[in-house]
Amino acid sequence: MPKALAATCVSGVVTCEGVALAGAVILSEGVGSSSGYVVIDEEKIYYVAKTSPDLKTTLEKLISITNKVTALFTSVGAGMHGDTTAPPPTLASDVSAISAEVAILQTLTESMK
Amino acid sequence: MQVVCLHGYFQFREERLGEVAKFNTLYEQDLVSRGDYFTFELLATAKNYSLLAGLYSGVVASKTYAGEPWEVMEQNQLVYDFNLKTLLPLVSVTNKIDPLPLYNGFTARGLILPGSINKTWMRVKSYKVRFNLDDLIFNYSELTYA
Repeated sequence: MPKALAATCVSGVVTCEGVALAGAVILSEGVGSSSGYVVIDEEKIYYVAKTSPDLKTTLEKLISITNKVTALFTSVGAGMHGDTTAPPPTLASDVSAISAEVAILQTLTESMK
Repeated sequence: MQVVCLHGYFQFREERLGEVAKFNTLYEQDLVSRGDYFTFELLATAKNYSLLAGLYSGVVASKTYAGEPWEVMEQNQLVYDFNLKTLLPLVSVTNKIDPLPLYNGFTARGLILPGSINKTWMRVKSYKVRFNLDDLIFNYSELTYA
């Protein structure tokens, strides 16, 4: 009968009850450190990371970016008068903040659990 | 009393009420209930998995495996020594046996220590035995060897 036990994964090494499990198959990306569960079925060992933190952080960043873009367009719209548009004074810093959030998303993509 | 030894793991089942208590007293043992059978106290707490290099009932496991406790013991080449009340590597048992053949099995006085070596140098791994605590004759059947 398969057995599920709490485990962690750091640098691709799955550890359970203080013992490193050689030969464990990591079913997620396994790049970033994570906690999760190891499932042992006779001699086969599978590691399943809790990936909900990845998803939560990603969604939080997407919401943050969307809010920043919305705020930026609102500022741009406020500066529109007739045929001319004056850029908002915070344009450069707003774009910079959005770029920073995108960079964080890129980093998350490269270190999925 | 009926006993099944599975790869060094023991299951006792009473045929008459009170046999387990009598066995415990007679042999200074510690049989306790587990599921629908009785077993030695250490085996009653044996886990249904082992982790390579981790402790399994007090000894270092040689394999990562999940299954019934007797399957885990088999995979780790461990047997229960009821004299020492500990698990032992199968190959470390040096006990010799020479059970008397019967028409349908063997007879011996007392329980055979799993891992024991018979006169043809084969190690006993599993068996069934039935005995009566009044005459202490143990009738063995279905002996299998490692």
